[in-house]
Amino acid sequence: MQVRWYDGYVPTFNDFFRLRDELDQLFDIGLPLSNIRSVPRGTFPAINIQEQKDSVCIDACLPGVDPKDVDLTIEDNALTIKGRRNTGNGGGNYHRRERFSGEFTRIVSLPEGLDSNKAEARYHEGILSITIARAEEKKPKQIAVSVA
Amino acid sequence: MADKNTQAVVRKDDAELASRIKDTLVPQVDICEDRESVTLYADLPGVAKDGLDVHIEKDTLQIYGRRSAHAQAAGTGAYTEMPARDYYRAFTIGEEVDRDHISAQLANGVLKVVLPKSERAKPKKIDIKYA
Repeated sequence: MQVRWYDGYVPTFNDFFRLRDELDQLFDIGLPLSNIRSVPRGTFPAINIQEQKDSVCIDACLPGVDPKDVDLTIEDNALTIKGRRNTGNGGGNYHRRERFSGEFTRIVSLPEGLDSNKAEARYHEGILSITIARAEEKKPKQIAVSVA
Repeated sequence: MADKNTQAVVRKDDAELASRIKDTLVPQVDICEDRESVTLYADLPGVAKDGLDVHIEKDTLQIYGRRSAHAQAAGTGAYTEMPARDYYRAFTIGEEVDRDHISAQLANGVLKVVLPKSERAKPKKIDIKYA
């Protein structure tokens, strides 16, 4: 029997690769209802979104990123976070390289009725917090009930 | 009898550690080594200096990061990829690390730990004498 040895697949571990592929299919690709804009697990940067009464806050986990290297734009209802992170430290041999290094882009769909002129971003402890205010006319309004 | 007691102590330690690291996130790390030292970088977004605990116990380097209040709140919203949990990760280190001169610094959510090698463990060039 000819042993095929390609794509870095070591024949001894073929069963493990097959198991991994099957699990990936089961959990990621197999789900019939995943959103067309959804991203795979572990996409950099991780993003959290909070909706508040007056604003929407988007937190992006960007540890070790120089805020000058991040470009934020709002167009229609999409926020684009674009930038680069360089974790390369030159000298030495790496035992592990798990941290993301390179260029990244993430596009976040925003809810309707935000005022992109009232957006601010703050970088603290490796988290970039972007706060976008809701437009005045879209804020929830209290209706007074008068007794007839 | 002595064996029994020892085992009980070990189990208690494990239980304490288990309760502390329950539901923690595993931070991503880079580890590189050169002639002088082993250097570890860990991504700990949302951890402030006072929430960080780096220590060595026996042969284990333990990193524990507690998220600051702001980062905690940030993980409870409409859409969450980064849950509001603390970080924990541990590594075993060998005899060659000089435990008295380990240094750590935290900047912008990245922890850097430098583990210098003791003089004995550094590579040495051997001079060859010609006869």
